[in-house]
Amino acid sequence: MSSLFGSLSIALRALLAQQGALATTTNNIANVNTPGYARQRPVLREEAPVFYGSVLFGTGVSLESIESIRDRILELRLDQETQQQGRLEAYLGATQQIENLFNEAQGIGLEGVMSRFFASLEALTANPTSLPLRQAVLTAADDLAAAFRSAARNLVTLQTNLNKDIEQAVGEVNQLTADIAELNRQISALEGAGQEASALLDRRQVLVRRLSELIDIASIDANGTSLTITTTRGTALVVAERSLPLETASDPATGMLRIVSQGSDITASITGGRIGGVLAARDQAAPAALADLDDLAAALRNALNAQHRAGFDLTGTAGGDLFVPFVPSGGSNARAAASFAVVLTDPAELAASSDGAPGNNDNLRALAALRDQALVSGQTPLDFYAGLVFRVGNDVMNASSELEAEELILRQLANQRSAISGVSLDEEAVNLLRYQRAFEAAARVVTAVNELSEVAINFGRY
Amino acid sequence: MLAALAALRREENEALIEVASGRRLNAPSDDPSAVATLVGNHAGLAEAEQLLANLAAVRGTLQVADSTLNSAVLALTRAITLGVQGANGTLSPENRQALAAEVRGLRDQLLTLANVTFQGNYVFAGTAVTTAPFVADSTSPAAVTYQGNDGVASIEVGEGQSLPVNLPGNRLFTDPAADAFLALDHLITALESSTGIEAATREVEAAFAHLNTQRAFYGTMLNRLDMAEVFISREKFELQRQENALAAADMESAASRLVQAANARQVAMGAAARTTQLSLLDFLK
Repeated sequence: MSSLFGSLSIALRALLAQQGALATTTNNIANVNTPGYARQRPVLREEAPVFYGSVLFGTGVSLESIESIRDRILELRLDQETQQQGRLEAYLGATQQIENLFNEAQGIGLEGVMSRFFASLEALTANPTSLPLRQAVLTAADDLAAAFRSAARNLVTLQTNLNKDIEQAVGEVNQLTADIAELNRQISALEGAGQEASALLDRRQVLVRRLSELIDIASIDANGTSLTITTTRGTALVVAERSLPLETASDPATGMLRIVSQGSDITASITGGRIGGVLAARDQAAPAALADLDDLAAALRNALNAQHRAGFDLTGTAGGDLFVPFVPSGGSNARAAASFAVVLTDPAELAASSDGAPGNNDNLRALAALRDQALVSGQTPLDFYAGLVFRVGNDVMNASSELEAEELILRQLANQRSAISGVSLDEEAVNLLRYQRAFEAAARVVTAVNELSEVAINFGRY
Repeated sequence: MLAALAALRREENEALIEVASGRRLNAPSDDPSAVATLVGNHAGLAEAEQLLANLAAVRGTLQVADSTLNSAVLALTRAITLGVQGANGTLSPENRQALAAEVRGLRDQLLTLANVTFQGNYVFAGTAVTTAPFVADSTSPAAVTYQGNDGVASIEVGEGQSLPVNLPGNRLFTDPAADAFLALDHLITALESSTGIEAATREVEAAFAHLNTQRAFYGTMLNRLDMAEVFISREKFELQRQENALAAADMESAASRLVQAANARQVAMGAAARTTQLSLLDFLK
């Protein structure tokens, strides 16, 4: 209205709008360190003008809404890269433990015991009747078997620990999906009532990010308020206000935990996040190393036994088994390393001779020569073992460089997000100034209108 | 910014570990193919060490055999001297008996020498090293029977080569072409009966020549031992050199990386400290 009171109400609306803008700025400043916070911007809109006679008068300003500055695509990319990072970190941690078992760069592993065993055979060739040297061979054989058993045991223990890891991670996933479902409910309730749910949206994004660390997810913003979350291969985790918890079940054949959703086993379909990384280590990296170990153990046990049985001991008796014989079962050499043990106890029964004469060392030399024969997959035992060390080290090296690259990408994305959604204290300081001045100016208008109204009221006085 | 600082700190740590340990390889993931090569390298070194130890052990056996044969040769030389003396027509039967008695003594000495042991094993028994190879046997024409065997034991000396370490006693002392015991027995009989002394003495000479020729085996083997030792030592040296090349840290590069990383981190921290101080709010009253 082109009247004084009209101006008053415009000024009043301005005060309210600037107050609202000020409150937004204050909120931004307060949340400068809140993780996941997206800065808010007051949306000021000019009110619809009205005609007075033939003149169009403006009717002031109103605070239409408070907008969160968030780049949805960027958030999605951050989620995806977080999944990768989670997977790589978990995988690297587990495979580094495998690497520690075979750290030949520091002399840890099986090369030492294998070399010492063959060296003890070699030493005996110079004096085949010596009981102390024979005993040394049995001792070296014992050490060899014990080292294999220990390596196998450590790998299995690693798998067991990774199992516990999975159990814990699944628990965290369930907690997060439950919380996200609850937030979905709260957000739809608020937005249904026409209110802004920025704080809840921020919180939900934080939870989704945490979920991405644990498992690979795809999130679908169906109608803008409710977030549906599934794994990348399609298993539903959160549907609107319902969360579908995951369960773990122990596989009776292997003792390993399987992950189950609504009754179906989804273990093989999880490819990212910490769970994905741990599963890859538990179900691929560790078993591969164990299989190699078993192949090597089986080859050594059987070849050494066969050669030993071809010889004669100190009394001229034909040689028996040196190690507990290994019989493969189920088409693989499983447990060859775990059951590696020496069965010969009497040093005199070591079959050094090839013809029964006590001074003959030909069978010993044949036993020692096995070191350079293609016993495993067309390779000598030490070459095969070197291959195992290489594969384990290579795995760790690749995971490590991938992780470094991934962290670089995440840093860049985080910087981008900061630029868009982060609070800049300088900018907020300027905003503070703007809205403060605008408020003061509007208040000044009120004062002016007040004085003018007094003049108008006192028109006909004198 | 925190992430960048963390990355710089990581780099600094890695360089520090390399400088402090003097090793470039601390885990297989540092250089997988180099560590795989190291495995073979260590195995090779262990084998070389053992071969060298064996060579030293066998040297003892060979030297004992050689010096024993030296004494045997001296005994036979003495027997020849006695035989030549005995052939002198001016000696009386009693004198010849005395000579025969000394030759008997030499034969007993030879028996003892032929049954010499080293580290509990009979040296001249072939591979039947737990029983004495030569026994006095009145039923045998040589008065001595060989109950060892023909076995020859060998040891590895690297590169798939092997070295025999013994000669069977029968080849040395009771070879059909030049049987030392038989010859001595004949000489004893000849001296006691004062007939055929020259013939018997020539038999002993033949046995002496045979023993000398066979003895060369030990000299040859000891030489081969020396050569093998040199060869394996060189291989060992080469393996150690390779180990250093693969595993040792390149000190200059590691040290300079350490300095660079430390500097970069200091600069980054200084910059971070500065920028966090400035804020417009400080300037607004």
